Amino acid sequence: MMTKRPPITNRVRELRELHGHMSQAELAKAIGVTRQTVIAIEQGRYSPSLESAFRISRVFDVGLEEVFGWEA
Amino acid sequence: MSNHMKFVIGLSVLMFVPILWHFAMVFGYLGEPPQTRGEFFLRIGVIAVGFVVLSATIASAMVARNGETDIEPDEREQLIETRAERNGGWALMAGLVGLMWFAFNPMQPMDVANAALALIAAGEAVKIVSGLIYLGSRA
Repeated sequence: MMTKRPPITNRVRELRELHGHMSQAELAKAIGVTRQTVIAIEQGRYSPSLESAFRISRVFDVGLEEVFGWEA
Repeated sequence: MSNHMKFVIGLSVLMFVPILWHFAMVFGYLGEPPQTRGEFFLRIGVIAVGFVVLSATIASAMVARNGETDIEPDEREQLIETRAERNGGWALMAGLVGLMWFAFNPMQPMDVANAALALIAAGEAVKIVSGLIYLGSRA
């Protein structure tokens, strides 16, 4: 099993709070994934596809690098 | 857990019911096991057709109730299913290699058939368990 965390970090939870306390379910619906996937993204257990990453940044109306970071 | 994953895992678990029933008969419980090729394949056929009908019925009910997207996997679920199916495939292949080994010893044809069915069930079990593990961990 892969236990090593991916070097990709994100501010999804923080941006949801800043975005009128948007719920995980609302974000999930907006980007076309399940709430479980949003939870996994926020916890750093899953790195979303590039398409979903762009969708998330569009929802929050910010650039991709304001949502995701890469700690290489 | 999403409705899609409940659907996939639930159906896989349901598939074990008739298979366990079959093996209960093979080991002398719940009646007589099939004795001929015809009886064996009739049973396998009934299980397969029943599984397809049950899948279609449940999928139709879910689509009618919640819409088509309800049973479609999202990107993470697709990844999890792919990895879980790969693990199930490895388990099946390993079992087949084992079966090849034992096939050189004198085996009754019905024992070979039952061993093959058990391997399919074991592969499915590995798929379900690894899918559940991936769901709760990094995918």
